[in-house]
Order: sequence, then structure tokens, then C-alpha cells
Amino acid sequence: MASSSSTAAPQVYGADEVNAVVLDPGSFSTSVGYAGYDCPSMVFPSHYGEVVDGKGEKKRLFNDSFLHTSRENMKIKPILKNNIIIDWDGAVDQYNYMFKQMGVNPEDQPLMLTESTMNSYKNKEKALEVFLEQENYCAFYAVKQPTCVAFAHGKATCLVVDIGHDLITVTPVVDGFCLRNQVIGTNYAGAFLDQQLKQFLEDKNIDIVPQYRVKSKNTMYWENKESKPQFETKHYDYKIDNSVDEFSKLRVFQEMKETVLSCSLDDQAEKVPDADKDKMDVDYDEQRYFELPNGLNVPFTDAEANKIANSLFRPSDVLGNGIVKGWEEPHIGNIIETIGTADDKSSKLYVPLRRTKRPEEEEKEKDKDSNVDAKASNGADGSGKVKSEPCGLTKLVQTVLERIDIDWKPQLANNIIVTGSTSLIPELNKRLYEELSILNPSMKIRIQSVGNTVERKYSTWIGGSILASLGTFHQLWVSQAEYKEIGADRLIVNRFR
Amino acid sequence: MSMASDILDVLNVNKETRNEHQQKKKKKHIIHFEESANKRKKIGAMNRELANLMGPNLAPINITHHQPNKKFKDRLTDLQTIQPSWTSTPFTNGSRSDGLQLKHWVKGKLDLLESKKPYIYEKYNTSLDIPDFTEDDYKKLLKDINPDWSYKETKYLFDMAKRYDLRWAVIIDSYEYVPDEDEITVKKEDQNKVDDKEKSKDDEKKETKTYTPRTVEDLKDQLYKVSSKLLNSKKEDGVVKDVALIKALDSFDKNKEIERKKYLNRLLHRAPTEIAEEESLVIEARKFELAAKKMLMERAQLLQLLDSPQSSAPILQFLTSSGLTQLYNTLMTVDKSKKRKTEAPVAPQLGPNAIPYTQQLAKQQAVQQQAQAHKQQQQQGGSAAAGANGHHGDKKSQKQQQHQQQKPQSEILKLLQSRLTPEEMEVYGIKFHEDKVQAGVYLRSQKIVTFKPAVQSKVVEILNELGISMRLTMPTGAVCGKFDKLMHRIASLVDLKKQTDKIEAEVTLMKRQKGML
Ligand SMILES: Nc1ncnc2c1ncn2[C@@H]1O[C@H](COP(=O)(O)OP(=O)(O)O)[C@@H](O)[C@H]1O
Repeated sequence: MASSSSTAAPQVYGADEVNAVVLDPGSFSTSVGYAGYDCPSMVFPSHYGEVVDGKGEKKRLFNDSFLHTSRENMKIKPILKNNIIIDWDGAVDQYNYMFKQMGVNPEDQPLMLTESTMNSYKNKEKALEVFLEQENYCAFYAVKQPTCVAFAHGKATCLVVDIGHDLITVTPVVDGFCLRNQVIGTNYAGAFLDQQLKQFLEDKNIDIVPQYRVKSKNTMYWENKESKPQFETKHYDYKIDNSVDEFSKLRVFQEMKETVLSCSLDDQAEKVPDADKDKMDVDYDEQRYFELPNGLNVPFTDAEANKIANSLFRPSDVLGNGIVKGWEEPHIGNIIETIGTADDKSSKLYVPLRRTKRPEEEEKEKDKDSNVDAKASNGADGSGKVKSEPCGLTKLVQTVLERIDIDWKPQLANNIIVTGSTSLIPELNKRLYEELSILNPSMKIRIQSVGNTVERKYSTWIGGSILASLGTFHQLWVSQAEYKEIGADRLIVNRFR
Repeated sequence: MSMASDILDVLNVNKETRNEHQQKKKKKHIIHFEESANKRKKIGAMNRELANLMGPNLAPINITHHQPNKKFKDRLTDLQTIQPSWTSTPFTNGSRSDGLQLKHWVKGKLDLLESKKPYIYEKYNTSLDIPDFTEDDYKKLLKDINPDWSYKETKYLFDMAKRYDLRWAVIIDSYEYVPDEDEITVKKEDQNKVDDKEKSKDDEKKETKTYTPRTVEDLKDQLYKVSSKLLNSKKEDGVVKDVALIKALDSFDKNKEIERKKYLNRLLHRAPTEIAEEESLVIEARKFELAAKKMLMERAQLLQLLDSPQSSAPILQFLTSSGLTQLYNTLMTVDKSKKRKTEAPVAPQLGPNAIPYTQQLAKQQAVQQQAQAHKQQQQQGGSAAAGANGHHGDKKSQKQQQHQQQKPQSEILKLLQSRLTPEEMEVYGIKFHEDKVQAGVYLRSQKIVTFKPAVQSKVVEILNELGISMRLTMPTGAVCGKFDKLMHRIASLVDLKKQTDKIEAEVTLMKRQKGML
């Protein structure tokens, strides 16, 4: 009797749990959890605190609550940049810290890592080495983030627009495969907004005081540049590293973005009254206040909030003097080159001379780029500026659509998936939709994104979770034996391109 | 101490019947009796009272019969042992060559047989059947298909095709083949094959000149042609297999494909004005089609009318009054169904030139008729018309009058009109209907117009706003008429509002489009 009723887990969804662990490192936060769950079990910032004690020994801290308080000799370091792991020691420490809390047993739990499509060859090699050799996981797989997003939305073919912290990327996904060479993106994402908010506050002569420095506060409203917050500072008898301040500002900015920003459909709506002029005539109904940790309430007019959010669409048109520090170089979307993984082609094994093709091709691509850019900007605002014009969100998507093979174009245009936490800004999707519809009158544009905040934020992880719990996926894991037999080189070329 | 017998006495149950009953029971439940007799010893005072009340009527089924000694909790644990539990079981996947063991949860106890069954998801591990070839094959058969392809590159292409299951979008995206030197400078082919990798490194610059990156069409062309050749050469008993497949493969034409994409591209890059024009043309065409259809239908109807009616049935059955109403009803339904049919194609709204001929005829006729009627009226100038005019006085009623006059007036009407003044007619409630009236008796309030549910709900809403109820308190003819008129007006206003809203939305959209472009 027992043998007849012994079936695998319910087969309706083709799921077969093997207790896989899913790890999704993002440029802002890193999430881990067991495959098959509908949201990650643990989400940590992609930063860690490094404390050097008296003997010069380093200790790493990961817990969110520790990072937002100060300690002597603590520095906060980023683990990832541009969605690529830059500090492997810190990363491995952090992951182990999380895995330990989850009670992961590497010997019989495979690990799935999500990676950026622009991940470098070296990084992939390192990941294989770390997880299969060093950490001794029985099996490992690296899956592309856009593929995960596609899975989370139940689409095999779609255009994934991921608006994260460091980068916006637009990736065509066909039958679950990312078209890596078609990926374009810019760095006009969450961090870009952070910087604008920072300058916005600087213009108002406001200083952001991190939470941990505030002992007590009185609520104050900002009226002019002389307005001063009323609060008592907490004094520490040691020096606090600048990185700690910067890190806690991230949180302030995030809250600010969550509560204040909103895109507008019309650019007319964002006529900003000159910041220097008297603001007596400002309509106070149109203001929103944001309270900083030190009790100072900063006013945002709707126009200002719109303008900052709209800069995702038109990065050249920003508040103030039009310069965003750190973003002075206009970015035209050639993300692979910017991140520097363009040379990092995977066909090393096949043909040792692969570089010969590159310069010519790049030349061509640039030509194509400028053509497309010129066309797009012509279409968008009639000004024929070429190249120096930074590439906004709509133009990015449009460029991908223009480049993609005609056979796939309508399908991709009909399945645009917008994800990433920055896409939670209200009206962003609507604006993207309207602009794309006008640019492509003969195509049916459809934009999809999940309404649920959690699902939107962690859609990459969720997709990984779905994938790693599929019965049909289990043949794809790279096991230790395979790793030893085939070697990292071939594995990367054949499996993790 | 009350006994069952006491109760039975109270209830006046006969002793004999009771005994009978008891005896029957006894036979049946001998075993139970014995058991329960044993048990009775243990029963406490209170329970004994209860048991006595039960009397000879034993419960037909002994509930605890099977496991008389088991307690409730024990039974629960028993259940658990019977139920299959979930076990974490290691399994191997047959589609893997490395024998990786993962663990999943399986219903049931760890069963050694289970692990020998093939993994259930193995069957989904399929791959495409793409033909294979060796370098010799290539040299013999395939070299001349596309001279600019080398064996190596073709092999590379086939590898890619296999790896990505012919997903061309992916293949072209990750197609990174760079030719060796010997593939371009054909003459050198024989020299130093072994270290051509090294050599070609030196000659980097040369190569970049001659190798043009492949397009999807190039790849498809090569793959299909090579495959077809290979299949063709694979003869089994002198017969080529997969003839259909080869035919399909051969039908691929690179130039046609390129052309197709060009057309598609142009289709997608039409300007909004072009699209609008196209759409309007399509709509016009549809209108013409509809008009033609309608005309055909009308002609068919005409022919049907001209057909002489069949009169084979005996006339006798229609002589009674019930027979007559039946005939009337059937005729009515036939008429109705006909009407519905003709209305099916909606008359398209077009310019005056596009009206189908029949319609135009009808229009002309109508105009003529009206003119005639007008003349008649003028000639007549009769007392009836004058009286009616005098009564109503306004232009609308005049029009109505005209309309009425258009029809041949019945004898009765003429008679009545000569005898009674309009005032009198109204007092008596006499009314003449211009159009056909449904047979039978009905209430006036039943005849109040209704609209489509969507419109109706809006009309009701507005009526509510006006403080008028849908149910008329005094549905006299005049009231009903007024009410009907009101309803119609509301409906047309509602419709107008909808139209304006729509047009306004369109206008703003157009404005925005203009503004953006
Ligand atoms: N509700 C929100 N509205 C706007 N921005 C948000 C919101 N929530 C988070 N963010 C911002 O989104 C960015 C993180 O996005 P995420 O998709 O997690 O990035 P990544 O995938 O690179 O880790 C951060 O800049 C964060 O401040």
C-alpha cells in the first residue's frame, strides 16, 4: 500500500522541492531564502560593517540594526557595485552568516545564485570556486536575474526593465534566455535619485543628520535657508567614519523616495518656481513635508517631487543647475561597455582570437547607437542632439525594441515587465506606457508589473525560488563532481554564459 | 429506581408486543448480549440507571466492538502508523551523468524500491534531433553549399543550434565565431594545419578585413541547407527518409526571408497618420460590404414576396375564431422573424453617395408621398383636419396630423370623426393608433418604452433625480404619452453625453500626440 501511494510532492505545478537555497545579491539589498517560498526569508543590505579592534583584527558585522548604529572603528563597505560582487570576502562572510541563521546544510542543499547578465568571467569563476569548493555545496547554479524576473511573472518571452539602485537595465528574454548582447542600461536609477535629493537638500542649506546622532528633537518646519533644526546631538567619544553616515543616509533617502516622489505624465506639471526667489506665493496645498531624523520638516512641492522622479525619463533635465554630481558624463545606454565586461566574452575556449572581431563590431554598434539615438531623440523632442544626450528610461526601452529582431519585436513590446524597487514610484509605469505608445503607434504596448510591493521588490528572488523548485530544473544543477570533471572554464562557456 | 418497564407502562405499550420484540432481538443479538452482560458488572450506579432505562432495546450496533480495549488516544496513534508519512528521500536524476544525489520529500515510508524508479521529471529532458556530420562528410558533401562557410564554423553553428534548441534569437545573440586564418585565405589551406591557431594570432589584422559578421538569415540558410543535404545522403535501403522534412528545409529562401523582414519592418514603422488612413479605409470597405450584403438580402426578400403563397391546406380549419387567431399569430411571428433578419446588418452611416440604391429609392418614394399628402391636405382642408388643428394648435401636432393623414384612414375613424368632437373623443377615451397594435388586452403602463439595460439604468437614475417614479400613478393616455416622450429625451441626452465624452477624450489624446511629436 505504501509504495502505491508514494508519489512525489503535488505535481500540479511540476514542483519538486529539494530544499534548495536561493541567493539574490542586489546592489541595494541581498535576499536569501528557501526555494519554493513566496518571499525571501532574509533580506540584508548589500553592505557590511568592518570593525577593527585594538589588535588590528577585523570583524565583520552584517545585521541591519548594527549597521545603523555607530561603533568605534567601524567602516561600512559595499559588497556589490553595479549588481556585480566586488568584495568576495565580505560577500562570503555575509552569506554564511545568513545561511547559518537559516540552518542551511550545504552537503545536501543545492544553492542557486542570481547574477547580472553583465557578470564578468572572473566573477563566475570565483562563484563556482567559492560555493562548490570552499563552501562545499553539493550543487550550484547561477541564473540570470532577468530570467528570474520573467519566471516570476510567468512569461518565457518578455522585455525585462529592472530599475534598481545602481542601474537600470533593459533585457530582452526569449524563451527564458537573456539576449546578453542586446542588454542596455544606464546608471540613472535609485542612486541617481538619491544624489538629486541630496543636492536638493544642500540647496536648501539642510544637513542630513543620521538617526544615531540624534538624542532628542523638536519638530520644526523649514521656511528659508536660515531655518535651523532643533535637536540635541548624541556625542560619541570616538570618530565615526564617513561611510557610516553615508550608509544611514541611504535609509533616509529611501524613505524620502517612498513617500515623496511621484512621476507626472505631463512635463508642464513640473514648472518649478525658482528656488532662489521668494516663495511667498507658493501654494501650500501642493506641498508635502518630509521629516528628517533631526525633526526638520522639508517641504517638497508637487512640482519638485515630479521633477526629481521624472529625471528617470529625462536625466538631462534636473533641478537646480542641471548637474548631478557623479553623473556628469552622459550615459547613452551602452552598459556592457561601461561596466567593463564587454571584452569578457565566453567563447574563449572555442576561438582564442575572439577579440579580433570586437573593434569593428563596436564601431558598428556605435554607429547604430548614434543612429538610433538621433532617431529617438528626434522623435521625442525634436531636437537633433546626438550622443551627448543622456538616455532616459523610455529611450532605453525604445532602443532595445528598435534593435531586436523584427520577429520578436511585437511579442516583446506586448510583454514589457517593469520591476525593481525604484519602479514603485507612482505613475512611473503609466508615463512609460504613454511615451512608448506614442513612439510606437503600430505596436501594441503592454506593461506589466505586479502590484504587490513585496513581489515587485523581490521578483528576482521569487523567480529564482520558482525555478529552483521545479522538478525539471534538477538536471541543470552543477554538481561538485561535474565541476571537478569539466572544470570552471567549460562550465562557464557551456552553461553560464 | 425507575425501570424501562415503568416507562413502557406510562406509554401504554402492550406487554405482549414487548415480549415479542424482545425475543426477536434476543435471537439476533445473542453474542452481544453475552458481551454486554459481562460488561454490565462493571457499570457504576449512575450508569446502571441509564442502562435500565434503555430496557430491552439494545443498540443495534456495538460501537466499540472491534477494539473494545483501546482508548481514544491509542487509536489516534494507531491511525498515525497507518497513514503514510513524508520522508526525505535521496534520488538521482537519470538525465544527469554525474549521479548527483539530492533529497526530496516523498509520501510514504522510505521504500527501497522507490529509489530505483526513474526520476519522474526525467521524461521532460528532450533534445532536438539535429543531424551530425564529420569533417570528411563536410569535405565530400557540404563544402559547395555556401563557399564562404568553413567546416569549423558550420560545426560551431550546429553546436549552437543544438545547445539552444534552434532558438534563433538566442543563437544569433551569442554567436561569437571568429574564423581562423585558413578559412579566409583558401590557398594556404594545406600549410601548417596544426598550429594555425598561433599563426592566425599573428595575422589578426588580415582577418578583420574579410570576415563579415553573420546575420540570422545566413545562419538559418547554412543550417537548413546542410541538414537537408545530410538527410538526403542518409539512405536506408535506397530510400530517403524524412522526405517531408527535407522539402520543408529546402523551401527556406534567404532572400525571401530578408524581404519578409523588410516588409514587416515597414509595417511596424508606419506613421500614425498612415495607420489612421488605413483604418478608415478598412472601415469604408467594411461599410461597402455591408451595404452590398443588405442589398442582396433585400432582393432575396423581394423575390420571396413575389412567390405565390402556398394554399394547399384546406381552408376549413381557419373558419373558426380560434383557428383564425392561430393563423394570425403564426403570420405575426413569421413577419417578426423576417423583420429581425433584415435588420441584422446595421445600415452604415455614410455620405449621401454611398447609400445603396434601394434605400435611395425608398427615400425618393417617401419624399413623393409626403408631397402628395401635403397636396391632399391642402385640397381637403376638411373639417376634421381643421378641428384637430384647432385643438392642438402647435406645429408638432400638425406634423403628427400629417403623418396620420398619410395613411388611408379607416371608415370607422372617418365616421367617428364626423360624429364626435376631439374633446368628446378624449373624454370617452377613444384613440386611434397609427401603428399596428398587439392583439389582445393589455395595460397602458405595460407599453411604456424600455431601453437597453445600460441605458435604462441611466434613465432610471435621472428620473430618480427628477423625483419621478418609474411606476406611473395615473397612467392615462396623455400621461403615458408624455412620459414616453420624456423617457426618449432622457435617453437621447444620455447618449449625447456619452458621445461628447468620447469625442472629448479623443481630442485630448490627439492634442497630446501632436504636442509630443
Ligand atoms: N517604494 C520605493 N519607492 C522608490 N524607490 C524605492 C522604494 N523602495 C526602495 N526604493 C529604492 O530602490 C532601490 C533598490 O532597488 P532594488 O531593486 O532592490 O535594487 P537592486 O536590485 O539593485 O538591489 C534603492 O535605491 C531604494 O532606495
